Amino acid sequence: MTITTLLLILLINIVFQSSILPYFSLFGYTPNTGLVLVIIIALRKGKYYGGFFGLALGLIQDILFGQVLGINGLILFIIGYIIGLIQDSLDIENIVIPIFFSAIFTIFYNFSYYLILFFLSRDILREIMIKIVFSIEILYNMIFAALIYKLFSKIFVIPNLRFGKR
Amino acid sequence: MMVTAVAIILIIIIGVTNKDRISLTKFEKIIGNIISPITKVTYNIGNKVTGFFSNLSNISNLKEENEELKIKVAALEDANSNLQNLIGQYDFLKNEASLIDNTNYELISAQITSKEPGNWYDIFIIDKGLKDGIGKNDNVIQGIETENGVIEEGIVGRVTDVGDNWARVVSIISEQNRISFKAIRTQDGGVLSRSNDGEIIGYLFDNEADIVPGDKIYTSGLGEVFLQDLYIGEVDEVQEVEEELIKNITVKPAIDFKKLFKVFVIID
Repeated sequence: MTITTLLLILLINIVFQSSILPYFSLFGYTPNTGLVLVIIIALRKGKYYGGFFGLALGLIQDILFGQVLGINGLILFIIGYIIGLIQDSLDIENIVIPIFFSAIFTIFYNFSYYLILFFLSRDILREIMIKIVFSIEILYNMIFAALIYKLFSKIFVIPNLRFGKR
Repeated sequence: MMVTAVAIILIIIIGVTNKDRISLTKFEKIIGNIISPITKVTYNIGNKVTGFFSNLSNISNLKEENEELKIKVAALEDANSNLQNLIGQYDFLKNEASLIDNTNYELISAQITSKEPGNWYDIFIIDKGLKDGIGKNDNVIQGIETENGVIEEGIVGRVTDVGDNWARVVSIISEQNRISFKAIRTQDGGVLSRSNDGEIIGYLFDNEADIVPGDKIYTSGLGEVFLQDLYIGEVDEVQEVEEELIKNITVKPAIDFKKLFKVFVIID
């Protein structure tokens, strides 16, 4: 059941992110809803769901758009797993946490993307790197984190234990 | 343990796929075949929706627009009489049109179905693939009207991978291969090597070359990836780097990469 829901979310996100969102980009930067989704799912579902959701999403994005297979897969997998690791000690009902994490991990995502490209000896100027890493995308992702988090609190309802009469 | 294994496998995949591959694997083709028709529909919807919103925001301007239009009608009536004059030159214009037709390559019209979600590269998917005769390294162009009203082939990018009914296009502003160019006015050549914020930066072979902002830049056809004489854009800035004895130029591409919808693919 959970896996079917996650697969559905994954597919919807791929379609949404690559064909609708480009029309709503601000100053040429599009929000990364995939990254936000990985963060929120890892927060809700733990390291294995988070990690492998990130892996699947990243790999599909790489297959469709990437010139190199596996960059998105690796980064999103690691992000999902790291957040899943510390998920237990966090109060996930607090909306500040996904917003804060999406800011931190947007920087992490773009910086590790640059690092991988750097080691693949792609020619990217350092000033361009700084411009992309600390761009308006951070703010954009934070807004989407709040929206998606609200949406998800309806999908992944934590079952209440009920005793006695209903 | 398992995490390390997955990470290592992924790093190996990254290493292996980091070169120009001859063709895609079957698995990649299947995923592309499934997703590209879906995104084609949604991309169309996105296009319509943004059109609708920009129409809505125009309503407030209606009154102003009415006044403007009245003035415009008067101007148009004037222009109409000028056009009568043009009809007299029909033969000349027809020749010109056929000239443009003759220089055309064999083109396939394609629609963009989706764009790369990240902000690092400008990569997009089109809805034509192997079945329509598209091959790797085919040039993707769009009609661009240069100043004197002539429609020319403006280079958008090139096809890097082809699936059955989709193909991946890397635009010239995120091209990893260098693009050889020439300036049409002085016939000076050079290489475009990297991009910055939608502009392409390159250098000239001859540091004495007389290039000024506003010069038109075309592909030179060297390297045989890009065809000859496709319009790239105008020179925006010329910089002389004294220590390195080279002249850098910044080129503003003629094509608006943020608003692409329909493109043409040149078939060899």
